Amino acid sequence: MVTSHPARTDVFHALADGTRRALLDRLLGKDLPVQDLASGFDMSRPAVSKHLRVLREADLVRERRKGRRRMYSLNSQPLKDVDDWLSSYRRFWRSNLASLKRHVEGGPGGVS
Amino acid sequence: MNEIRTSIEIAAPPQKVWTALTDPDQLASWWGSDEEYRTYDWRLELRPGAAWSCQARNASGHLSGVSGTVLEADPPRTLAYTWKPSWQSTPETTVRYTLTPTDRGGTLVEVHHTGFEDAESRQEHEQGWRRVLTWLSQKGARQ
Repeated sequence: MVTSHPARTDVFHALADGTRRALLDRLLGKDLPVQDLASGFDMSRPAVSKHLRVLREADLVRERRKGRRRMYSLNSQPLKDVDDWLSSYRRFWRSNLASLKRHVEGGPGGVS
Repeated sequence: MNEIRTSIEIAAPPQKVWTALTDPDQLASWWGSDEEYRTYDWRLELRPGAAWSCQARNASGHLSGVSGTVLEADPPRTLAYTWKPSWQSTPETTVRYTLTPTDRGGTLVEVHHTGFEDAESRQEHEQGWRRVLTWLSQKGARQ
């Protein structure tokens, strides 16, 4: 009924946490080495690493090696996928209500 | 952005619209189209807690379905049920129809589709989506 976009529970889950949103915020303007990205949070480094892993698994951030440093960057494609998914539902409901209207009002395409 | 609202005005009284929204035979006749998909085997009992489901077959023969639980059934005003498509591994969402009589003897039908998120994180989510839009626009701007 609605096009099967790769609608992703992991993206919703990843975005639901304040620390993870803060991590994404930091990557908005620029790519960052993991040390800079993870510093300044009121939690242990392993805890921050865990959040980064969730973000990586949702493909919201990507990690690459640059010399001896691990650099993080934001990947917006999963956000676009989610947006597309919701857009497809928007179209679906509009078309469905139009169909309901035709049916109830007995116009063309109504009662079959 | 984590919810969908849409509405339409129908030139018929709420009771008639209600029947179209809840009667399995009527549902099968208007929900879907030959070009896209047809729905069949609607099971919908208007009792909170009751399971509901329907099947769909698209133009190329592909089968799918949606199921859920009835949350609210207040004829001819409010119908709400959870929504779990067979083709998506996403959390269950909620669809609510509100039927309001209009001055002209018609019905305003509103659909409110919510819950595109982990149920646990609902409160945090609204804020989250505003940020998503910001990220999206800013990321787009610098690419």
